[in-house]
Amino acid sequence: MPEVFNLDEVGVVFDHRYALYRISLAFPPGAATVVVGENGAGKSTLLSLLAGRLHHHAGTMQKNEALVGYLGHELMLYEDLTGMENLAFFARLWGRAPERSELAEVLDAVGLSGSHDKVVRAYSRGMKQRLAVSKLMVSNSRVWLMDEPTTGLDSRGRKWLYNVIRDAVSSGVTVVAASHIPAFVQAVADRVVVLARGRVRGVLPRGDGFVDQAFEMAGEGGA
Amino acid sequence: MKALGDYMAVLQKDLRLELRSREVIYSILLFSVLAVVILAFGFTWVSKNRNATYAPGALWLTVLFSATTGFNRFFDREKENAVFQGILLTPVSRAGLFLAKVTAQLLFILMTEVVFVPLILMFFNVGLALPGIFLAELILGTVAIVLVGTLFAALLMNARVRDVLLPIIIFPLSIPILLAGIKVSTLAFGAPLAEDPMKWLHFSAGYDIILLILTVFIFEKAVDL
Repeated sequence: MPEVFNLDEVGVVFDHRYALYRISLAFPPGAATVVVGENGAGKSTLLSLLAGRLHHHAGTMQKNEALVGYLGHELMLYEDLTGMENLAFFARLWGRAPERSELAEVLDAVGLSGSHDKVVRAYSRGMKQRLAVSKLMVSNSRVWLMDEPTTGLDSRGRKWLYNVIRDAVSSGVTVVAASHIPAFVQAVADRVVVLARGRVRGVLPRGDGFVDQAFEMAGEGGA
Repeated sequence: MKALGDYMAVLQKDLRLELRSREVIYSILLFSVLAVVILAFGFTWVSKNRNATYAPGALWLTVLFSATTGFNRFFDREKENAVFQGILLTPVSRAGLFLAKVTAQLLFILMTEVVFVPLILMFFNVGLALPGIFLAELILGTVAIVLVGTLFAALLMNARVRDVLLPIIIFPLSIPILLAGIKVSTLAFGAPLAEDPMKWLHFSAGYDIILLILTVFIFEKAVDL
């Protein structure tokens, strides 16, 4: 199977300066890649680029998957719709027409049972994050891009998210996530891409001590 | 079929949100009623015998200004949480999305016109000699303003000076439809002009068709740039 994304010497410019510089990376299908790096290293820029929210200014980028799901810092939810209405709306845009019972199962599975019909404005940050993850779950996309997906989640929520991601990867979904949390990397990553100042510092496959090594390379110290 | 499904999904969502908050309709309504009252005072205070001359201009300026007020409010809720970006990251039909936005905005403005158009007739003390033609022109003119306004409100959503830019773009593009609207309204209010209102109705319909094709095309291209 071809790589989901293939980047060759890709550069992205912000304010006359490279936010990503000469990035060459390939993302294999059915694997979880976690991008680590300090603040400003280019993690979010890389994910936005893969999602199609940004254009590259140098190099070539090949995308072999048309439908890509994206979970960013902004959760892209309607605050004045209920959780159920948000989920049903986005499922329809993804070309699906799930029954209310199916959506209710998804909302229950992400820990929002009892809150289906509350408007999102009344949700806590963690609940909104769970709802945003459920949008990926009802999409048709086989690629999930997740920028700091543990934001707002408590430790139970984080463990839940690790399981969601591992289940998705087991079913063939390709996950590319950005995180600065070692436990997240340890739990979900099949490989780690280390970014520093917009450049690729290294790509590490899963193995003994790969998390500590990745964070040391990124300049963040160990777990 | 996907485009139709997306159109229905976006339209239903927009109507549901508006039904819940009524922000857009109330802001258009409030602005338009105030505008009618101020224009009525401005034009009818001194020369009461020229009301029929001023009423068409007052009507179309109110339609244009109040619609422009609504465009920004309408897209504010899409800006919150970057949800419009979220929609564009799905495989949504761009044409379906745009036309749903146009339909929702058109419905909101037509609903407010039901209130402020009778106010204009009342304040300016004019009657409707050609109600069918007047109604047709009112709808065609509003469609043109909504097509242009929705396109640029969507494209300028994240611009810092959006509130200034939007009228600067919408007003010049609305001049042809304003001229047609004022002509037809003048005739509909019973002014003795030797002109055929159908000629201006046809012009407005043609202008709407051209705008429809252009705005859908530009929206589809521009949102994916």
